[in-house]
Amino acid sequence: MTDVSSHPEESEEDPLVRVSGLTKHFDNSSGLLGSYEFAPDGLSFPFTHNPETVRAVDGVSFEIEQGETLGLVGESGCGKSTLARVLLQLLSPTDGDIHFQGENLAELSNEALRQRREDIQMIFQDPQSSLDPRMKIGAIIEEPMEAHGLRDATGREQRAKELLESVGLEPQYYDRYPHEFSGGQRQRINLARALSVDPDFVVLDEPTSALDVSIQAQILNTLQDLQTEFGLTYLFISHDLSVIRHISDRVAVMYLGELVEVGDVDRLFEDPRHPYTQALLSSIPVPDPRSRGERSVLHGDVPSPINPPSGCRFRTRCPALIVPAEYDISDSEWADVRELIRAVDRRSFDADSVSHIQEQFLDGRLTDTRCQEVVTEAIEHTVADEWERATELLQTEFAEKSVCAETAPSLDSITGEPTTDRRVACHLHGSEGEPIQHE
Amino acid sequence: MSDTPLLKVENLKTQFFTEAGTVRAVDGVSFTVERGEIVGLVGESGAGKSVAVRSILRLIDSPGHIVGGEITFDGKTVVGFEDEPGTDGEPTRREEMLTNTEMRSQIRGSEIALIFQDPMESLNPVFTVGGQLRELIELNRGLSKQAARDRAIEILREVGIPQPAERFDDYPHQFSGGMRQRVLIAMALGCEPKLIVADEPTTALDVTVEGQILDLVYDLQDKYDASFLWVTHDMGIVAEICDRVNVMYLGEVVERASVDDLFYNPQHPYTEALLNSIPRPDQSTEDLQPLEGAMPEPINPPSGCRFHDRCPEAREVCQRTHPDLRTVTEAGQYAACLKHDAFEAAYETSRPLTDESPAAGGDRRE
Amino acid sequence: MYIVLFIIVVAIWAFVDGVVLDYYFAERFWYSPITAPPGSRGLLPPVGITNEYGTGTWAHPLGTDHRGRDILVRLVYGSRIAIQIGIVATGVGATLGTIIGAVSGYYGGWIDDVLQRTVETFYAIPFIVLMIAIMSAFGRGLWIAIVGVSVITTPIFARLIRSEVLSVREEEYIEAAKAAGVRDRNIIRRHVIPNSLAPVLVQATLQIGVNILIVAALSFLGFGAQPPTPSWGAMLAQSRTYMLPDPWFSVWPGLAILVTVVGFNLVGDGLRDAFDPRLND
Repeated sequence: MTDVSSHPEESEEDPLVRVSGLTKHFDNSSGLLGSYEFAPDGLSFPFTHNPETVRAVDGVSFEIEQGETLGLVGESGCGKSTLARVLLQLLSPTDGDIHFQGENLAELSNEALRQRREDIQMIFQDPQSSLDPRMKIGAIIEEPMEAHGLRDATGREQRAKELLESVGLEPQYYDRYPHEFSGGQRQRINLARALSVDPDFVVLDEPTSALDVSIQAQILNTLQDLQTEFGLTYLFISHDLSVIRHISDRVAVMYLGELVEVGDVDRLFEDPRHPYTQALLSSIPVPDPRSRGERSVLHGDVPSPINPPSGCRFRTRCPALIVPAEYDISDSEWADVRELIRAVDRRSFDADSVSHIQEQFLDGRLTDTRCQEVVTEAIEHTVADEWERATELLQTEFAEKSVCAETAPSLDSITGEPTTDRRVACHLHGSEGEPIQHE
Repeated sequence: MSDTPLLKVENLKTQFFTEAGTVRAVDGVSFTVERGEIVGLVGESGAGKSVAVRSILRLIDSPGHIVGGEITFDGKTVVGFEDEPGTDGEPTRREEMLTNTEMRSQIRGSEIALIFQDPMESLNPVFTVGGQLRELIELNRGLSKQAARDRAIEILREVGIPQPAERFDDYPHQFSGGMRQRVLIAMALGCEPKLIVADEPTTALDVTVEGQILDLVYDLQDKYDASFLWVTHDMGIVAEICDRVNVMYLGEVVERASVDDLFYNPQHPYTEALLNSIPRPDQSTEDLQPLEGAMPEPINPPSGCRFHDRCPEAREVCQRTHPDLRTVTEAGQYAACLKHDAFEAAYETSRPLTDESPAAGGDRRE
Repeated sequence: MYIVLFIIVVAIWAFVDGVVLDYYFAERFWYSPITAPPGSRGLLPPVGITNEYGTGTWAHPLGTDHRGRDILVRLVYGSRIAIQIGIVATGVGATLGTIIGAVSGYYGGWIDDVLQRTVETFYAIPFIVLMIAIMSAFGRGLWIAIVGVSVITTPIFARLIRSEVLSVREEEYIEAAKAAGVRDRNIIRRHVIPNSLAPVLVQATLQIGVNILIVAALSFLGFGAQPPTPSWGAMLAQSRTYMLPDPWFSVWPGLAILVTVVGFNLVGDGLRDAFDPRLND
């Protein structure tokens, strides 16, 4: 127990939470024999062991300082909820460490971990299902205290009633059942339960996304008040950028299991560096009719985490994909070529004649002859109705040759930024300092 | 002909008769949709938005019933009741009101299409996406099987489904959420309806996909000149796509305005409160000013103005007098609030209620 | 409400009827209470009274059997055994099954695999064969029958509650309790089982009827309660020989089984409706 932290007297500079290289892969198959595939080829044993892994969280590292709110934002399926559950050890990580107050949660025994939960609590998204419908409010709030052996029965009841008041409810709700309450009130009960053991750190997983806007605002205000009152540290997970901006001190942006950008809230929102953050920010409809039409839209869907793209995971949707080093073409030409690649992939045009398609997508012939050859060949394939060959050719000759496809960018601090706190995982902002450009 | 609005809803009342009592989900709602216009219907959950739009298509199931009002669509009477109830006390249908069969054959799908929030619910999981779309076009447009198939592929391409011919034979579960919503839009467009009713169609989608869908709607509206009635709770979407907006609270429309007026010159305290309670993505908001409490149940709405128990500007007169929707500005903005001169309700001289109202539910802590 | 009342009445009846029988039926219709110890009278053939096949008399309303014993008295005694076995065996089976199923469903993984495969093995063997095997190994008798029926009942509940737990397990309040640091056994006890129990109660009531049938079948085959203990199944078996001269001898125990099983099934249906939220709203 004592050898876990070599420095029992924690220095004040240590962050409250330090997550390093956290990884969670799910085995997508189920059952005893689920991962075996039957593939008779007549030669070998026809069953092969082929577990399909979902790489929900892949090598995520970040820190949370005492008393701050870290906002974690990303689209659904990006792994942010899994990250929260791994962080709290509700799911055991495939790899990586979670240091909480200097102690590695990933290495604790079950019982030690259970006791540690006194300091780490969680608020869930769904106010309907996060309260046991057969328990009274009082019992719900007292349960964590009971589990950690805090206070006696009367002390717990008193504390529960106090907490009901501090989250903005009436103490006489103590004897009622959850179904008597609205969504916003239930979320307050959840808060009271989490706070009952006096935690240091609270993970909030989309706590307001099931609520109406006016109720959401009430809960957000309450959360901020409670943070001040109890000295809490929050990890606030949401897909809603407006809420994240409102509540966070620092923000981490997640895409397909990886963090792509971390930074101070205002700097990140005012000056997003990662193309995904930029796209995310510019695609939200702003509640202001006079800034209409300023949105830009990201194409395509999030790829499957079972088989994520090589290199940078965002590259398949990235509007700033870097030109392969071997080609010497201008930015606008590169944009045209990528438009063509997308169109071929989606088969969104009628392939009538080579020259017509060339005209439709490209502004004259490309300066780089090798490039032009590939493009022409691909267009010929489409005219011959060989779409798959065309797609494959364009992918291997263009997309796969970009540095974005070849190496995965690491989450590094940006040179030129005043603080090392601002980190981006993008080849455009390589740790070498200079954005990689060709021309 | 073109002077009359495409859709006119007047004093619509839809009620649910439950054991606990009569739920007045929609209580005297009026609004119009002009040709080629995107009209927003905004409100929090429980405001009656969904019931209102389902009433337009007469898709209200028991225990719910449309009990009054008039809905005309393109010269046809979708809902029409006599002013006087019949001898049995039940509301009497007027003769020109369409029968259920006529609704099915003339209105639903062909003239008014509905797009739901959850695309998985409106696609049949055991049939291919293409098959469902083809059948719809075949039935509603009277095309041959092959012609309907070609048209279906064309529409799928139009709504941005990649490789439409190949994906024609895929099943709904093989599509992502955004793609399914595109399929639904394709199905709505399949019969070239005059009005598309969209009930929170992007709520279940991610922001980047939501953006794609909004762009798609823009393009399609240009191309097909369809009108939209867009139900949402998201003020961002309202600002982005709507031309005119109706704000609903507890079964009533409390404000109607052009989108710019609504955001820059709201005339109803509820609209104002709604705008003040949303955090902004484009600027940092220091303090949110949420409304106190929650929307009451429509089973037993407050007396007078239904908003008075949460209203920061409520006065004593608001408890007694129920305001209807009236023109309150020169620009033709409508609001249902007694503070405006148009109501002549002695609001100025009435005693304010705010001081004594307890922090309802204690939602704002000291 | 009526359902609860019915169960209480049946349960009380199953355990106190002996007293009633001894001092009511025995004295009135049978022979002097002085000659035999209480509790045993219904088990013995009456001495010196001739058989009265079928034809009811005031003394023997349902007639007497081949040994001249009063059928009504034996039926009522038989009801005690049937209901006792039904309730006790179902109770034991439901309790064991609930624990196994809850643990299996809650933990999942290899624990689930091991428990479920075991349960399925029991499930796969025809219950009569399994019962006969158990009784051949451990002997015949009422208590062995109860144990046997419990064993074959357990898998039904284990599977039922497991499927229920699998859905309850995904509820956020379970995760919330885990995140709060509540011990697993407390989560199972306080959250998982109470929220999965409704279908078990329904199934248990239905199962009582089924188990009464099983015990009757076993007795019919001679594996249940041993003579002279009166049991419905054994009475049916004995009556086969007298089917033609005295059809009523077969009809009465058959009717008793039918009414009891249908009764419990109706209670089960009632409970199912009562627990169905769609009907409650």
